[in-house]
Amino acid sequence: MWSYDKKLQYPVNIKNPNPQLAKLIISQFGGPDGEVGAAMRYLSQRYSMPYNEAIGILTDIGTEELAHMEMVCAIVHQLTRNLTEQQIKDGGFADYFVDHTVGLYPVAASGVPWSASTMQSTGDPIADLSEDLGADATTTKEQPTYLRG
Amino acid sequence: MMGDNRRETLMRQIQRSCFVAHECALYLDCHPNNRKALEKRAQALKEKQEAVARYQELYGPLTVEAAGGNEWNWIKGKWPWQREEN
Repeated sequence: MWSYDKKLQYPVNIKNPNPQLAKLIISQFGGPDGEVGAAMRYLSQRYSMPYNEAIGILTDIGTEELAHMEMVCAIVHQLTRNLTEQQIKDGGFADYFVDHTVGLYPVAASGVPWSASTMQSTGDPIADLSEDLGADATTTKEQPTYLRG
Repeated sequence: MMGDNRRETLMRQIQRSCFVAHECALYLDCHPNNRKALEKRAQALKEKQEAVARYQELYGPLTVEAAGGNEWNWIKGKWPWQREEN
């Protein structure tokens, strides 16, 4: 089971709304390399691991990904607070807003909803751990993407 | 406002010590006999527990198990993703 701590892993305190940035950052929630996928990947793969070391680390990392998901959602939530109609239109946010308003929907920046087809759980520990190395390597791609955004 | 600073300071202490404890736990998952990591984690957890006790005393529960009171205090106050100012 899981329990919830009423705190973020790292503080999020964003002063100015920015729907354009929110539309990019939401990919880290529901995109192909986002936190939902990371959590589901590790927490699904752990059942077929043969060693306690691997089960333990997939459990603990998978759990931490849920905390990352909460921080990313906090960022998107704060970036889309109190938007005016004009900001929604000018920020290119209207296409998201028409379906989800400012609710948090796990979706990629391209508009594709989160899908389990972006991850794998094979039952083969070597295949799964190799996939995890690939997934982990995407974090180096994502960080500069946001800085450029 | 002074109270807000204190709250933020305490929360940062909790976040820092939780982060250290968690990183040590991840390391220990694959290095279960590493004494240095075991000790560092124990120290971080001690600091966390002290800060959590102080925080909860002043600002309310951080876990649902710590919640209670004559009136259910779990749902009082801001949630973690909500900005303090508004």
